[in-house]
Amino acid sequence: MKEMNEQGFLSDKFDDWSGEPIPNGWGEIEKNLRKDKKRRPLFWWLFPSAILVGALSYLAVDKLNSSSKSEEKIVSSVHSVSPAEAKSNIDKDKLQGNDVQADPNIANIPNDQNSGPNSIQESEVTSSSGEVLPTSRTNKDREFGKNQRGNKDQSVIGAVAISSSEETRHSGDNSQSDVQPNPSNVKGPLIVFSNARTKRKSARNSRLSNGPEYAARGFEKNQGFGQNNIASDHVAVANSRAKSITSGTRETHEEGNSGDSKVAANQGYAQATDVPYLEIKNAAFPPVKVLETTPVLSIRELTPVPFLTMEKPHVARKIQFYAGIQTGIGQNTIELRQSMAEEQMKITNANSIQTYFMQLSGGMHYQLSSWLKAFTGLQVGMINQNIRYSTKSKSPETYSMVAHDSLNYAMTPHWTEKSETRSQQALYANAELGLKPLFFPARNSGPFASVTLWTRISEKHSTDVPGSSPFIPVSSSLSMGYRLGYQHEIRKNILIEAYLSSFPSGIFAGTKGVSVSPRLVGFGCFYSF
Amino acid sequence: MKAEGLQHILEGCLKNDPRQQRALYEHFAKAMLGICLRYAADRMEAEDVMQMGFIKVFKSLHSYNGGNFQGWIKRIFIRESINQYHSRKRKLLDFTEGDDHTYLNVSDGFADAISQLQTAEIMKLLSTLPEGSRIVFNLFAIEGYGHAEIAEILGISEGTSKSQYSRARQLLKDQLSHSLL
Repeated sequence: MKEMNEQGFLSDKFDDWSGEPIPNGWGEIEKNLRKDKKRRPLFWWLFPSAILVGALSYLAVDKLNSSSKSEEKIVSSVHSVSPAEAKSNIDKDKLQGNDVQADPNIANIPNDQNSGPNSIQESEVTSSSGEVLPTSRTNKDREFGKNQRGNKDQSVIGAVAISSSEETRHSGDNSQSDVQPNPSNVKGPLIVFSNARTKRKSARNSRLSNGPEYAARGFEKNQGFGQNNIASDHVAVANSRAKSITSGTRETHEEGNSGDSKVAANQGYAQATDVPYLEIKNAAFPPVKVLETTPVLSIRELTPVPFLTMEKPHVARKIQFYAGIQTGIGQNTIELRQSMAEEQMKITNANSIQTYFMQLSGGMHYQLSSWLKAFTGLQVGMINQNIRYSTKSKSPETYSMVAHDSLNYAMTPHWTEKSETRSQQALYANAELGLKPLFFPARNSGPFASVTLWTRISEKHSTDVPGSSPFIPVSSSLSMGYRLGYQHEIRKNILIEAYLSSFPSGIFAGTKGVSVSPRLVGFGCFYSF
Repeated sequence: MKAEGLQHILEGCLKNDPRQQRALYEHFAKAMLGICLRYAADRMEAEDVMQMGFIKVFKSLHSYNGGNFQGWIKRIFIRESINQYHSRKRKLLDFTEGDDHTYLNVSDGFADAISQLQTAEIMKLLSTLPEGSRIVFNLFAIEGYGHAEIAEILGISEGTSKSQYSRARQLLKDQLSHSLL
């Protein structure tokens, strides 16, 4: 059949037949090919960015904190000093030297930090620069005479440690203690870091009058200025060495008491004029030989503040910090959030009764079921003030309360209304509840809801209008969203958490309708030891 | 292209290497566009079909298990051209059922006559054919498919394929006669 023979009869002719593709033909194909490829999740771009921003903000805020608090008087405790380290420092500075004899009761001094009211409590010393220094550490290279102000930024020299809020601890044993609240008569160990410029006089007077105190200052070898001060300080140093405190079964040593200016001259110490100094009233120093078995500066925790008794001891030593940024659309633009370490909070607590009460925020604990994990958070704060406290707990850990002391810097405080920038204060409380399916617990994702109560205080209210009040009624807002986060537990006590969440905030609903703050990127690192 | 070179390109394409994918495209683009042009209604459609054909090639390259790669890729483009036609028409080819016997007595030197033409001239003639007839003619006379295979590809009966080819053949013959006159 003829037709059948025609099958493929033109195939050879069309073998070389071709067309000319358009120049950008491949571009279209490639775009289609790449379009189907899975895109890299945005989270992995945001994650390192959040870490970077968080770290930078933490450092920046920390720097601001340290500079703003350098003038403040700080009562501190914290940080342990090992016996060996303390001994080496003491030996090096020869504060005790050969003047102090070994006490026969040394060996009997218990090492138990909780051995009773007369035991020396373990505490920690944190200098203004965060450096822990032994009792009489000197800086031989420092030139106080040349730059007195500069020394204020230095670490507290001779920062030593001892603290106790049990003020009656030594009342029975320490004959040097008199009546409070005279600083010179404070009973019980007390460390006061203060500005030498403002405290020198009173401190000197108290040293001269009461003797059993120790002025830990920056000493400078081979500095010859301020002879009178040198003399008085040497008296204080000598007295402090001489009058080791009797505490409990410990005996006070008077040896070395007679050295005074002679000892001081031999040691060649010069007084630092402007260095924040450490003043210890009636400090109960064990004799130097104790160092071999017990730290000279016995360290223990501060006496628990009443409201902190909710925390277990290990929780009390937990360091937590949080750094993050919040960005939003609307009038609330950027919020920089930073929390201080809990240790730092204690330093502040010891110095400020206000902070005590600010810590009274509570936490909640939920565990809805075995396969759902709930987390709650409560945050109370005041915008336009640099204080914000929040607490957050998550199931299924045992109950714990974590208090964050965060600083809210001047990136949020202004609302703009009708082209008029007004500075208003706002009080708010935020409670958050979320659910996390445990199928992928490491992803730390899940829906959450947040309720915020707001009230604001207007600085510019009309006093001409009867009934006008600066207080704006409490308003509330509800936020719901979904959080996608990452959580990684490096060790049992180190947890890194980063999250990205999206939710309409509406936190300004009480003032100008609903605005949206849709993004929140956070990074937190939780470390406990 | 040497077999080794092609093999290297194919291995790169399997690893989604953009450079090797582009090399494969540049090597086969012209030939495949020629195929698409024979089936498409116009050049624009042919270029679209060619793009879709290459995307399909890259996505289904893992299913290629040796043999004549050019034949494999050619079949993909033919199928893609047919699919494009189907999607455009949204119905099967507008084939009219023909008499299976109408073509059997054809013996008129048609194949010889059309073979004398240049490829471009044949393409010009083919463009005058109805789409159904043109596709069957392409598949039978150029691609070398049998009517049974064409019927399977196009979803028509074998008789319809034969009648469509006969129709295309007659139309081309008329065109040739007319041009010779």
